[in-house]
Amino acid sequence: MALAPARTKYRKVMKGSRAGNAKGGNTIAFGEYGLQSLTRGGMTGRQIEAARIAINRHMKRKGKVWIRVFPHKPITQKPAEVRMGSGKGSVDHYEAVIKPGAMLFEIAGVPQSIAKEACRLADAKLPFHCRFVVRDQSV
Amino acid sequence: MSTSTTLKVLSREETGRSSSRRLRKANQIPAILYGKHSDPVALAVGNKDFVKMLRSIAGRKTIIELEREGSGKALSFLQEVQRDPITDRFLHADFQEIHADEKFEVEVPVVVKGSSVGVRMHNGILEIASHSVRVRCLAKNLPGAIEVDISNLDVEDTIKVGGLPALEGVEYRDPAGQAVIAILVGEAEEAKPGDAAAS
Repeated sequence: MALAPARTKYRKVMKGSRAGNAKGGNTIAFGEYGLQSLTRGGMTGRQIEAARIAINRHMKRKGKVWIRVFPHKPITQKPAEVRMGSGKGSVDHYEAVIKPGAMLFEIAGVPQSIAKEACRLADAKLPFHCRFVVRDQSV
Repeated sequence: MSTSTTLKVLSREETGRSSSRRLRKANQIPAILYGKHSDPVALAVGNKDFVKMLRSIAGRKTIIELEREGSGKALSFLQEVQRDPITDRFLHADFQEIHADEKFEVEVPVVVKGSSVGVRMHNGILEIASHSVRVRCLAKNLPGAIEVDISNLDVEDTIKVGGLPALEGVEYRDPAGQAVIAILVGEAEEAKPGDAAAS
């Protein structure tokens, strides 16, 4: 099931801005490998779930996966064939605002080749460019 | 125990965003040296020298001897390195000054040795809960890394800070009950409805 907030303080929000780079959550904090966004976009709850399934299926449920993003932002949509006006549409789904540098998933407990392929498969489910990163051992 | 490495640094007068950017354009990294007994000194390190030094220490905690023009040498360790999260460029380095005869606290990386029985035989998952631990020691006793042998570790076994190998002159500062390495039960993550529907 797609991720969504259990309850929200405000039902609908304005579009907001996606300018700048990710200021936090841009490093590997838990695992050994990660999937990091390189461009910006919205990541819906369904996309997060699709990417998670792609990772888990390739890893054959071995290892451990951390999801580092959560779809907090409600996105509204008007029904089909409705004239403009009459107020804002109803909430359709929720999405996470992704800025360049955001760490989307982290993986541990599997060899690097498996983690890399899992991240490639997950990347294919997402509407922005990502890269595979390995925990920096040099510092 | 620790070996030391040498790094040539330059003192700089200008500080702030624009001068730091100028330095980075000139292929240098702004840095700072601070310590208990001296005022902070703004430094600049050559990017090439810095990368070379990082490669030579290979992630181990090492005493770094800073060679400053006109101000002599200073013993230090690398406290923090800032990198650009997207380009991976080095942005800034923090050096903590130490004295050879004074104990200091430092984060030392944990290195896993061997292959666990739990992972090999019982489909367990190796989880490194703490990638580094805080220790207090003299410069001569500084361990490059805490090497932990996990070959006898079975599923549901945990190595805590209290169970880390005792090293001469090294005192662990993290709580003894803090988990460092654990072998989790395989297939711990239950198949979620999404998985079942997708397969």
